[in-house]
Amino acid sequence: MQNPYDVLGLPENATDDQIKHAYKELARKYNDDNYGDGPLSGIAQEKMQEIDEAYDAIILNRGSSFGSEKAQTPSGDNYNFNKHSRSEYNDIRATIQSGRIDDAQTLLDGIPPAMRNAEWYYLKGTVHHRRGWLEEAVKNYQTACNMDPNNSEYSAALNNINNSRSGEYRTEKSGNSGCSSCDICSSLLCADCCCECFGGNSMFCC
Amino acid sequence: MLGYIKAYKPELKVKDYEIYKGIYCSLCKKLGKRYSPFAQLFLSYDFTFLLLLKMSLSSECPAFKNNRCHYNPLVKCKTCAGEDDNLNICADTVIIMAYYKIIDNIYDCGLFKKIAMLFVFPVIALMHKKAKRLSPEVEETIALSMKEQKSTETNENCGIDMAAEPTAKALSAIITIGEHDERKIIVLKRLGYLLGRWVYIMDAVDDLEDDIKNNCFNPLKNKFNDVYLNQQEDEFCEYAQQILNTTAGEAVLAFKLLGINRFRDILENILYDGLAMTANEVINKRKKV
Repeated sequence: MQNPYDVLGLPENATDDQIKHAYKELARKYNDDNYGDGPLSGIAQEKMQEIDEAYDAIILNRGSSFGSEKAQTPSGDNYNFNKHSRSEYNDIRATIQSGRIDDAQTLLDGIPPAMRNAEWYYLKGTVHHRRGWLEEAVKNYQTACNMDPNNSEYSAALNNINNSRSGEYRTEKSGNSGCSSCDICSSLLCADCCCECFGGNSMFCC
Repeated sequence: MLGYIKAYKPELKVKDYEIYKGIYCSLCKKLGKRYSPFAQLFLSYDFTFLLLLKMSLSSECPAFKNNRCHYNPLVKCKTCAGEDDNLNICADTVIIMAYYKIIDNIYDCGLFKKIAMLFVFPVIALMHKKAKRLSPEVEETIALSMKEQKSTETNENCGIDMAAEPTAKALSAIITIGEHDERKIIVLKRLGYLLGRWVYIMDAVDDLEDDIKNNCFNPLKNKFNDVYLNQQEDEFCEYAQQILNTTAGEAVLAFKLLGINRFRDILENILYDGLAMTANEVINKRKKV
């Protein structure tokens, strides 16, 4: 087994706080919500398990000094295909789950247009999502949501893919602390106050 | 590939910038040595990213040594010391891509450019022969994607997803060459696919106006036929921004799962900031026109 400290990306003499922090960071990164039922969900789950095990190993090693509070991680039940036992599309869901995307597409296309319901569009979207055909995926998820607005599975998938659409993925970059427009204004105000102490005045309004 | 995948320098640390430049110079030097000084002209930042990613995954850290630039002997540059498989594969990829690009241009471009290309062609064909011998895998991948691209372009209801597929698949295949870890291959495939797709869409957005004027193929043309009349300008810019964002966002998701050994800051800079900045640049350029 890999060294648990390597898994968390820390040196062996890291403090307890560093370990907790690293674990939380990684748990957030591999969070199941981000990967939904996309093509990489399996790997994300494996990674999650790895850091869980590493964290547990470290706790065992360090003994009771370590408060064992793990980040709450969703169990992934929301996305578990098997939950939907009364689905008519169970075989297609199983096909997608096992990664046979081309087969799933053929099966889906075999269903006549008149019989296509919200779930059909959702599954079609999933297939496209896995292939990387993102525009088609968005379109199909959208249709599924329109046909069945109350289904949490469909709306989660749509939200997931739409998250990055507005460029939001960039905000989660680690350690991305820039200077906001608020910071600029408040710094300017401070500078002006200092200036006025010495008789100068850079802003006439205040 | 046209130099769309590049770092956003203002956000790069100086040490990372040095490495980034060093990798660029290494590839440039390699092209000069393995092929000819002429080959160096085809280098772009996309290949720097490719090499950077491959090196970030390898177990050995590259060592740098001081050198002088051939094109500007007054400038010192750092290049990788020793032989490196990744470096060789990337150099071959540069040549093979350039070769197909030139063939493409000979068919597509106007008369003046066509003649210029015909002068270049024998030289690049010679280099391509060598690249084909050295990296048959890369050659096969790109040749196949070119063929697929031709056939998708004749398809009447070809949307942006379908049109981007050949390029995406090609990069997906090239990016995984030399990787043996099964899990990493899955992640790399996805990352490569999405980046290839991103580059293709970027190119389509960049060229839309010219393509409408010259009646060339462009997957966005069906949807935005009036762009050069400025009718749908805003709608087009927003749409372009959205598809590029979605693709980049998915690529970032894949990248997060990739266990890399080094260069994290540079790669994150490229994927989080670089892609978005390039997209903004191209889209804002349109707005001004």
